[in-house]
Amino acid sequence: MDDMILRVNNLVKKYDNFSLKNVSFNIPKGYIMGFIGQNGAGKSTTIKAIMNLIDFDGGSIEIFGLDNRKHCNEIRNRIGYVSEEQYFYEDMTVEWTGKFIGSFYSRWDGGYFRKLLGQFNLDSRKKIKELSKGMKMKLSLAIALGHRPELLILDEPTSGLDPVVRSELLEIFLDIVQDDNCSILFSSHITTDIEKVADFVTIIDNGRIILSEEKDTLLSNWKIVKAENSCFNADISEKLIGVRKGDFGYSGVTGKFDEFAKVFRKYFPGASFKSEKITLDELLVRIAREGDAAC
Amino acid sequence: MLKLILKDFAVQKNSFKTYVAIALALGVFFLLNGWQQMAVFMISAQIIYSFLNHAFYEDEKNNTLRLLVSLPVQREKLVYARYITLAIVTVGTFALFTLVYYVLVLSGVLKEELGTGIVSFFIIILFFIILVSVYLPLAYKLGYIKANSINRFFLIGIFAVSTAAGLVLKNISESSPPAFISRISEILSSVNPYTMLIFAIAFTASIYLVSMELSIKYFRRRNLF
Repeated sequence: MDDMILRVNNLVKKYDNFSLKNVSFNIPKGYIMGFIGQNGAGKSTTIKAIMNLIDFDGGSIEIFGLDNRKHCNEIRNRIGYVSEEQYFYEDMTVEWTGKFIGSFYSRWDGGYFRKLLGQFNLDSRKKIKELSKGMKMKLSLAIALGHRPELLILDEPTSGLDPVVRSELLEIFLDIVQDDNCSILFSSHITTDIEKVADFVTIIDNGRIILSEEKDTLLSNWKIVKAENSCFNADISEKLIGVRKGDFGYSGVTGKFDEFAKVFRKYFPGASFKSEKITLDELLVRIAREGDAAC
Repeated sequence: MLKLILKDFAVQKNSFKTYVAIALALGVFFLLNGWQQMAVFMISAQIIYSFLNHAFYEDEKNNTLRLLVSLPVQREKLVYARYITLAIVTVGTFALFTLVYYVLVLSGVLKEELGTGIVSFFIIILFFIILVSVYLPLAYKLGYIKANSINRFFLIGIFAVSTAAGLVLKNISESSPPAFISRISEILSSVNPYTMLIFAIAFTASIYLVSMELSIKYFRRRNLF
């Protein structure tokens, strides 16, 4: 088996008003992949296809080197999945819920699950309906980790949570990767969360993967550049995405800074431009603005 | 499989008492009106139907079908488990209340003769199971809420048809029936009622199995996301 725990190859899923267009990315073993995009970009659809919860029209998905449709249950037995919304029997207790769900996994570790409940300050006697959204998310995570998964798939786990709980969860994710050698696919539209914990980043927009690479490389390669409006032409525009023009100057982002600088100096040898570090948030906004032109 | 069966009982812990109480009240009403076998049937049918509805309702209300289909378990097993649970509840409930009824009759508390009337009683139970077998694939295809709405109209339809059929049969019995009805009647009366019951049980079991296969087919295709 190679060193990729998840391989998504040219995934296609067509709906009437939306489609995933040849989505491809990989996750190496033992790393956190941040999967970002605005709401409706296709993150959850991709994750549901990975979990084999929806059919897809083209492409393939391999997890642990196995086809996810042919070896669905074998793969699920080795995955911890946390969906955006938590679906539990509201009148049942935390303990019953853990035992019930855990009974489907061959490697369920009840002792570890109870330890996690303690770590997350969850009372096992409480009913699900008595738990807050953050508590339910923690329970979901404790259940997902209770069978010591090799891959954890988290669909918007921090969405709708307050900053304190979000920060706690992010620390937990880091601990999981360090202590349990588990890989994580973590989707979110909150880019600051991804920036804190992810090793790799995949950006999806309108059903298409815009980029997928190591976070540090991405943040060092991609820059915001700013210059006067008089220093703008079609060739410059080609090197930039998400261009914003003001009265005096323009700004845009580029992933090929050296090429941009070369073209800029060629056309405007006496002029100068400013370059700044980019955040994932800014990059996502610019990509969303650019749409298909970014590809 | 066992955990899925036990789950259907566990999640209904609270509602169970309520619908059993309603079923018993209904049974008492029928007993007080002298319909003793009907009382046994109504108590059992009410409990079984409520159990089935609440099992679907709990999954629908909590959206837990989404949870169940994301676990390492095949969709067909979820359907098998529901059918097995329902079979256990159906057989268990009817057996319990029929036994109670027999004990009451044999001990003289209820004044009724035990005889071949029990065959027609079982036929009613089997007809009820056939109705449930029609309902289940609908619930797996359309979801509990839509299936339940359709079921209400279906039951009203059954009531209307059976009432109309009763009137027709009454008219026929009062006048001279057509030759083919007399012939059917002769054939039926010549067959041993217990043989007829065995055939009815086999027929109902086949309908139940066909219903299960249909439910599996529909549930496999159902998009829950």
